[in-house]
Amino acid sequence: MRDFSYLRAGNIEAARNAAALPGAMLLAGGTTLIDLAKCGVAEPATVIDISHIEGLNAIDVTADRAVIGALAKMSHVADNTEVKSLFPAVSEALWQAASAQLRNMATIGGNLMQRTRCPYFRDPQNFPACNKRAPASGCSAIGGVTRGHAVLGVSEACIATYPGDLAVALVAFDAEVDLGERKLKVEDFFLAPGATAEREHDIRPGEVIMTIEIPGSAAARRSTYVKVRDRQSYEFAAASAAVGLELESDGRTIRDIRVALGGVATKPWRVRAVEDALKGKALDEDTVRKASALAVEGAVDHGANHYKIALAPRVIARAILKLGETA
Amino acid sequence: MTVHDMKHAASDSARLEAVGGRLSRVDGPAKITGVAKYAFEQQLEGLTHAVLVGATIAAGKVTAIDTRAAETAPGVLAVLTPDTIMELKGASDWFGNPPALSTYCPLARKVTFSGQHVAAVVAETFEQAVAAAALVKVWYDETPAVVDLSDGKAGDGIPIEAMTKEWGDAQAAFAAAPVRICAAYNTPREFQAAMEPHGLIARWQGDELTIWEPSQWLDGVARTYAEWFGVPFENVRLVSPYIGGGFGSKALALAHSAVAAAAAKMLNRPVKLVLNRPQNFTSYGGRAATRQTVAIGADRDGKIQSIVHRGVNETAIDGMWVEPLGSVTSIMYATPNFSSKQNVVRVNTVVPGAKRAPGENPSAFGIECAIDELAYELGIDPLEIRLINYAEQDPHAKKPWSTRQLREAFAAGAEAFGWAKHSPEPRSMRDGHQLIGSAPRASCLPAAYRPWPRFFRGR
Repeated sequence: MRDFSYLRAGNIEAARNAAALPGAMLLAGGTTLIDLAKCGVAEPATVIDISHIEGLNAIDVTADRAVIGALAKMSHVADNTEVKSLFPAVSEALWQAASAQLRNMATIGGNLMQRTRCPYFRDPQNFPACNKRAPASGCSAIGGVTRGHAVLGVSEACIATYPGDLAVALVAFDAEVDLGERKLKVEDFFLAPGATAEREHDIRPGEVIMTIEIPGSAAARRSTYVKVRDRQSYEFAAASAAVGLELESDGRTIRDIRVALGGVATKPWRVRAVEDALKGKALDEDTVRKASALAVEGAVDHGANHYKIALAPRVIARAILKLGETA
Repeated sequence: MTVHDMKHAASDSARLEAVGGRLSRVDGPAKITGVAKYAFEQQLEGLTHAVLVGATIAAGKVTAIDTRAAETAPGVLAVLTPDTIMELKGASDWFGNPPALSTYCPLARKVTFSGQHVAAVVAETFEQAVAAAALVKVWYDETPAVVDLSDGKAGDGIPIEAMTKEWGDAQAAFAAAPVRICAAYNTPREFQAAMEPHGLIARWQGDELTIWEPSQWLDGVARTYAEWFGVPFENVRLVSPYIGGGFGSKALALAHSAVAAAAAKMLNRPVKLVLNRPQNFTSYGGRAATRQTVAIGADRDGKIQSIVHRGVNETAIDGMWVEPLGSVTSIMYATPNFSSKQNVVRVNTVVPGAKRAPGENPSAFGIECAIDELAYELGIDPLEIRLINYAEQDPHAKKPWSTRQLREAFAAGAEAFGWAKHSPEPRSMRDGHQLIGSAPRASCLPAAYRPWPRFFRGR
């Protein structure tokens, strides 16, 4: 039997101290950690239950910024009136993530820490080779069944897709994650695999996610999250896009636009090439589709996931055109 | 979700809604409120827990199993392998045909599919059994596997003569027809993934066996246990309080059932064995993957002259399943010439089984898509071509139907669907940003051969 210690942290200092222990992992909603322990991927020496720490689940939203506590439940954030009106893409991304039961349990901090759904990563018994689990052991996905794997940000070490929805919206709107001693752009918090696929997050021993801060903006207020997937609910994205749009007073020239992709990259994937190509341009379908195509420049497929290269720009275009219609 | 109060089920208003109304399942409220106690949720004194070890190869032989580490792990009561599990007797199949072999071992020495049970661990707790099962080391002599129907090694398979159905001269009539279409229709393996997984609790008291197991066929399953253990049928009590989804898969006693019942007998303690989610895909069949070609020859006015149908379904290396692919093909439309033949191809998979209208489902998919192809080829409305070829009598037996109101049903369906607004041109209909298409569909079940129509809108 795999034995482990269970500690319940009463406050954030205790959580930080315990999180510095070797082999320590944090437990909040438990929807990721317990799954990973069941399939033999996570083998924590110590489980630190932070779910009882008070004050970490606040949701504080003004026009300037949203500050979301790490222990806020996905369903609470999704249903928050201010989040819905000031950051609709964030709410929509959450609504389209996981299932009702999972959203009621899972926390925002845990959501950022979820691991890839690469089936090879999650099956250590049958696929010992996985650079994400065991550095330098190889990649079972390359040459395997790759329909769900990434086409952007991949390396020779790893092609596992970042599976989440919320973080895609967060990187689109320059959100930051507060780790206590450090604050990082969410975009930098997630790491592309490169040669170190085992490192998915820039988080150090002893650090605990405290809050997520999303700056308010006109683009965030007029934003949406479009998710295309094999079935309508409880499914990861084949491709998704978080898009925010701000038009000039003429109602057709693009002043500001934010675009990020999910389901196609190894991390939440901001696509500034598309943004730069559209800023200052008139919003029309032809322009939008041409610019959206830039999102997949340099994309690399592994056979069965080739469709994502065609799909991703269309999802971006759909999201932008949808926003354009809702003046 | 609405929970209907069963108190009113017999009231006049509910009876008025019986046709086309929303009726509660008798066990629905208990299930969705969590009150239902499923078969293997019984709390029994001295209950032990069994966990299966599955093959990690798809084809070959088990050459050795090292059970030492598992046997000395905490809480372990027994590690069962083909060498140590008690010998069972062969049991008759579900038609009652006597077994081919006099003995049966539910743990495999010869591996014919990935995940096949090769060993099992029984322990005091579930967690101990899971941990010990991971310590069982199995060595194999691996041989090449046929992965699925698309595998180059799969071959053409075995003709199933009993499935051949022919009248007229279908090949010649097809060749002579002025309008011809021919298309291939494939369906993948389809699995029953019920919310309640497969599993059971087995308890022996002397030579009396009690099994708590969800079952769609109490008598047949009880008979299998009786035959495996050589006890009278009356000695087997099968308790199936609820079925949390079966879809045809919970009609048989399966290999894992035999393992649990044998372990209970060997240990003289009740044993609980529940398949985990991955094991639910490798421990029983699901609908076989199928391949069909449907060729239709017709006059220019859309009257079908010939249907030539060829089907293939996958089956297991050591088990036979025929998914009757011509069942709907032969009954839906009037045709003077018809030919349907079917092969099965052995691949390295768990033997497929009955899943929700075996045969009719893929069969209807093939013929109903093909007739749309014919309609498009001819420029005739898909609903119209179904009426042009309406079978006024059983096309094969040439006997009148007892009841067939498909024409009336099509008319009612077309009205309800708004079929008149449909456009047959590809990419011609939109709903917002989404391209949509639509088609009428009919099918039938062999029990009554009452075809029913459906109208679908696809995106």
